[in-house]
Amino acid sequence: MELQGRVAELKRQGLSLVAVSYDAVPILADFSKRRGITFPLLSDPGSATIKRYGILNTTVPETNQQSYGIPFPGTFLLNTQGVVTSRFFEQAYQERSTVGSIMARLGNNVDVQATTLSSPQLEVTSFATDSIVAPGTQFSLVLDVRPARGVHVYAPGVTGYKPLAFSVQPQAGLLTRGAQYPPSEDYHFKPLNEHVQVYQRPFRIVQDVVIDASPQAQTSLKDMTSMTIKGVLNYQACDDRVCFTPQTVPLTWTVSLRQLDRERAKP
Amino acid sequence: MLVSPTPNRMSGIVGGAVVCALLSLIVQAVAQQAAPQPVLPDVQKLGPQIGARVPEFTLLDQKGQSRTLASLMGPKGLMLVFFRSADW
Repeated sequence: MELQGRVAELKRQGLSLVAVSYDAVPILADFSKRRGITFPLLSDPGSATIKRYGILNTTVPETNQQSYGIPFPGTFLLNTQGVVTSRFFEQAYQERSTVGSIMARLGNNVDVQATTLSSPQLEVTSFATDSIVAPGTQFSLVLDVRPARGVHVYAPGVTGYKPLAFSVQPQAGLLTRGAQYPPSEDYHFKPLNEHVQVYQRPFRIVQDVVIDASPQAQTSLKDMTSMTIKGVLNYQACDDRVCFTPQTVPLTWTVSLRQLDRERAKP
Repeated sequence: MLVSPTPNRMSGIVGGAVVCALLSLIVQAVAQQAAPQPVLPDVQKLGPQIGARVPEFTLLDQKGQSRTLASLMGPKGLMLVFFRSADW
């Protein structure tokens, strides 16, 4: 379970971790033993708490004995007063954001190996938030971009210059969500009295991706033990005197693919 | 001479209300035609939102110990995950 691998990292940040499902205590005990889970898994019989939270998956009919009572899977981050500071919910029950992805979207550091590529104008440090993924895993590709002093790059939507754009090469079994760019800032180019949206301080691009959990995708993922994801970052960098040639930076990440754990608890 | 503007204004409001009612009928008719499958709720709107306090609970963990929000809370907060099932 991906969560177990993040317990220590969360603890360093002062956060406890707990996971709730409708399973009975013996099922959770068996699961914890098999998977070496050390953080609390809570049993919510009859999904009473799930219902009180208003997150019961209402698209599952009550006649479906196995699935009825499941929540829309998701994660709440609470402060010490029990107040929600952020929340992460997926539409499909098979999909769940990893802790690493949540941390990346909150702007935190993530304990993973990163690769840094440098040019005189820009330094790009990139990583995937997770090294082992399975069908339904929603994780993130993260680009921490640091423009050199006095250099800016153009924000998405800018016309007249080549705006920054990150894209992932499509492939079977991988779903790509919209890339998240941070707010840009106004740059006043005095010689032309021109205002344009740019990035000139370090910023982070987060691209969420999901290993497709649909039955069709399982066919193409069946014999794969790893997946290499390719992407490119396009940008044009300028300083207050000169614009440099637009650049295309190829980036790759390789993640291990795990098949879904279909082992049931022993009766 | 004092002339009350009320009648004109009222007819404007009544006219607007009729247009609204007609529009909503049309919208309903279109929605009924275009919705053969059950509509998935927008999960972003379900459950406690940012800034809201979550409901308290008392639940047993995998060791059979009783747990509450307070007993689980870390020094800076709690990550509360709802997942499908450990069993399938």
